[in-house]
Amino acid sequence: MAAALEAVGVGKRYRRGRPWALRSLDLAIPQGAITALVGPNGSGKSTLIKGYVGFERPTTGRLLVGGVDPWKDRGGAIRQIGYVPQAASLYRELSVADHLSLAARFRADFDRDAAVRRLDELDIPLHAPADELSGGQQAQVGLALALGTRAPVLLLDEPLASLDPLARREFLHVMVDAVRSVGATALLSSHVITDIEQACDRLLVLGGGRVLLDVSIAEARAGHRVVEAGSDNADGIAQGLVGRFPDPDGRSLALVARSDETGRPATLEEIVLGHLAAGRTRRGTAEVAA
Amino acid sequence: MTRFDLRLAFRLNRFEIVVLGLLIGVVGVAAVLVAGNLDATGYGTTCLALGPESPMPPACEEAGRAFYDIQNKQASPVQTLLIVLPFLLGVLVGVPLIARELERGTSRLAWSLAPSRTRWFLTRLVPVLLAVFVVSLVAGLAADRLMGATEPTADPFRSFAGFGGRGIVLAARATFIFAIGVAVGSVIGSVLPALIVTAAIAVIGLSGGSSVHNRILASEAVMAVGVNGDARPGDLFIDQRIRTPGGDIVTWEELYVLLPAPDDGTEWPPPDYTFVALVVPAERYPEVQLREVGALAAGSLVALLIAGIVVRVRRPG
Repeated sequence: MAAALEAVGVGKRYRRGRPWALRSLDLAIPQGAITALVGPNGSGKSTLIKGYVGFERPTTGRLLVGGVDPWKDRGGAIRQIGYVPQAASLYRELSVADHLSLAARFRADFDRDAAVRRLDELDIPLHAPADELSGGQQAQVGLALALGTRAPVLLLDEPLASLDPLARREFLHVMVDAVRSVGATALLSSHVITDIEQACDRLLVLGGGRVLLDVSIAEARAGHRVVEAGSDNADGIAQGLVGRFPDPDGRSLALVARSDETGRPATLEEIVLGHLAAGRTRRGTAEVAA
Repeated sequence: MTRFDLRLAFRLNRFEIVVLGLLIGVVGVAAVLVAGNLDATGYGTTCLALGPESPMPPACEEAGRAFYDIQNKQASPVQTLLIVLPFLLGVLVGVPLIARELERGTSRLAWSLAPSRTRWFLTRLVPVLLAVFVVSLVAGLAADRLMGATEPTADPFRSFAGFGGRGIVLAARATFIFAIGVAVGSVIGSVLPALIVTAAIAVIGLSGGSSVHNRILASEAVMAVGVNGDARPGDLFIDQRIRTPGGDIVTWEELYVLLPAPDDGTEWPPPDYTFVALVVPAERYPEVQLREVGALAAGSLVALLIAGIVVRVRRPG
């Protein structure tokens, strides 16, 4: 399957002498996938998404959207992208309908009717000024604008961060429905792993600007087990240890990359935590070595 | 440019355009009314028009009092407002045009929708640019009318009186400041600091530009041909010179060397040395005005080109 989004040796450093936000990143996100982009603050999630939109220029390597380098042909890349920024970024002076007109002004193929239908279903009044909408409604307007572009690639930069649980669920429902119905590709950056678990079919974990894990969610689940770090499980931990992390009660857990009956199946959150912990350990070791 | 572009520009800059536009409209109407009041005194048409040599009729004393009273109490404040408001319009509308988008993050949405940032920039710029020019031109024309009433012996379209503070030059200056504001706002990306920087650049740019233009005008000055070599109403006075009995024209410094001032209190310079004025004749006003407008238009274009380039390459804030 051809890649909708690619990264070839991408590095990004905002200023000389500052740490790298992205390092030697190689990625190929297949068409039609809904990929969860997960990682701690500063892991490079937003930088990667902004790079695809042409807002950031890679210091090394290149990013490609449907084969188009956004820095060389920004217009060509933008035409393939629907983007939902972290904050909805709506014009407070404009109504929802004005936002739809704005999108239609710049995108000749903007599907205003579909956007209106989507907003109607959510009871978002078209004539309401943007600043009178709730955070969830503003996020939905942002999503309706991005989906209305009928772009084959949807980039969502932590749109769930400021939403309450119900608004998050509604947002994801609308997004998944729309993306699946047209076979589009989506890259969703988020901290909320429980929500993306149901929405996404791929998992991309970033840590310290590097890819820590890039697999389908089914593969991630099938290939990881969790073992409680006790003496009986020494064998299980020794083979295929990914990383250690504490559970909510403070007990030490170990994520192992195994598909046998060792320990118990890992949840998606545990898989992410294990790989983030492994990434942190690797970085620490590399820094000590340096 | 579509109707939507106009509506969008109006919605996004409603406060600045409406408040300053209304203010300029009100002051413009006030200027026309004050000009009418000045005309109604009859001082210009029946007294000043007689010329400096003719004796003034007794009624002129009363008319003159009324004329200068209106000039001091009404015309001067209105003239000041007509100069200041277009500049304020330029700064307050120009700076936030891009800077506010960057500050509020709406540029992220807009630039992710618009395949061409240049097209987006022009869509945002052109309607507001036209509004600033038209509103400040209204102020300039009102100032022309008022100047015509305060200087009744001069033709406002053939007179350097109030040069720069009226007519199309005022509109061009306001537009220049607007363009500087757009450029500074797009570079800084934050409204308040950009306002301060724009105000500083505008003051330096306009005073520097005026200084250069004044030097050019000084190099083009000619001897006045009016009575006793005085500048006529509407001429741009550049400097005073002295004509020696031999017909040479010298500066004061040259005269001090040529004919040192005596210490005994006798008249100096002697009566056979006459004063002459170095002026740019009023007839050249349209040409000089056009030159200044051209220079300001070129400066505005450069500033807007810089803004356009910055918008193309910068981060969305």
